[in-house]
Amino acid sequence: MTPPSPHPALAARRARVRRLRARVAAGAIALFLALFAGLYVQMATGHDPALGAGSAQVATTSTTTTTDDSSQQDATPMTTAAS
Amino acid sequence: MTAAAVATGEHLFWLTSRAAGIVALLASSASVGLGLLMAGRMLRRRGLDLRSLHEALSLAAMAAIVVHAGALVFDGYVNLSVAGVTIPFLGDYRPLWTSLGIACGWALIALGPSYYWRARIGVVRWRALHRWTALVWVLSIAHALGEGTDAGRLWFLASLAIVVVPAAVLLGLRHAPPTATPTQR
Repeated sequence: MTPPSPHPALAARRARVRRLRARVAAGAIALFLALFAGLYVQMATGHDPALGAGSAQVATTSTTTTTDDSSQQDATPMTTAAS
Repeated sequence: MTAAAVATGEHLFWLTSRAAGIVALLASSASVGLGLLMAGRMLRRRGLDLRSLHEALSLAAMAAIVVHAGALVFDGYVNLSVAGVTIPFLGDYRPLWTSLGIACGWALIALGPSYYWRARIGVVRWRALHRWTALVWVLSIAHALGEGTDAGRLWFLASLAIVVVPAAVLLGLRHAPPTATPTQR
């Protein structure tokens, strides 16, 4: 025995609510992805407010040593790192 | 750019949490604004559509709150445990603002679904309970502005203002004392 089908008006109302929920969910996910992408680019380009200018330089940490004898005492490794 | 991508990859969960937090704030603000419009009978559209939209925005906000807190557990930057993101004053990262956020998160998750039990708890009692969501929303804005990494950014403040200011005006109007109507002579 199959359950009785709901009234057409009720079925239409349910479908409308489902569509609305799907749209809001899609909008929220789209907004999340846009924000995530924006924050990612901001961080990758070194403009993150928390990590500052060093955020893009974390992985490009460089060590520079001077080979010039006259400046040997200043030849401390220069390291760039994020805070 | 590859090196920068590797560096940024270490913060993926932190970025996820930030993005989800902003989504939660925008969705909850839109939901509160819509709820206040409905309560003040300022919109003439079909009630069911408005209520469904209000409900869907609230559910989206709650889902975003779960992602916002959950992503922090896996992030190595703020270094929070499960207890640290669920129990106030347990974490070391900005304890006051974080605890305010945790309390707001729990309050919204507790108050929001009360709609589905309103027949059981009584409509009058549910309405009284539901009004507290506005206060929780105000406190969550304080959490975002006080602790949010992007709180000082113009784009963040502008996007927040678009949804927060109208809702705040509606909230102010709702709680403003009634003005005395001039008596006619």
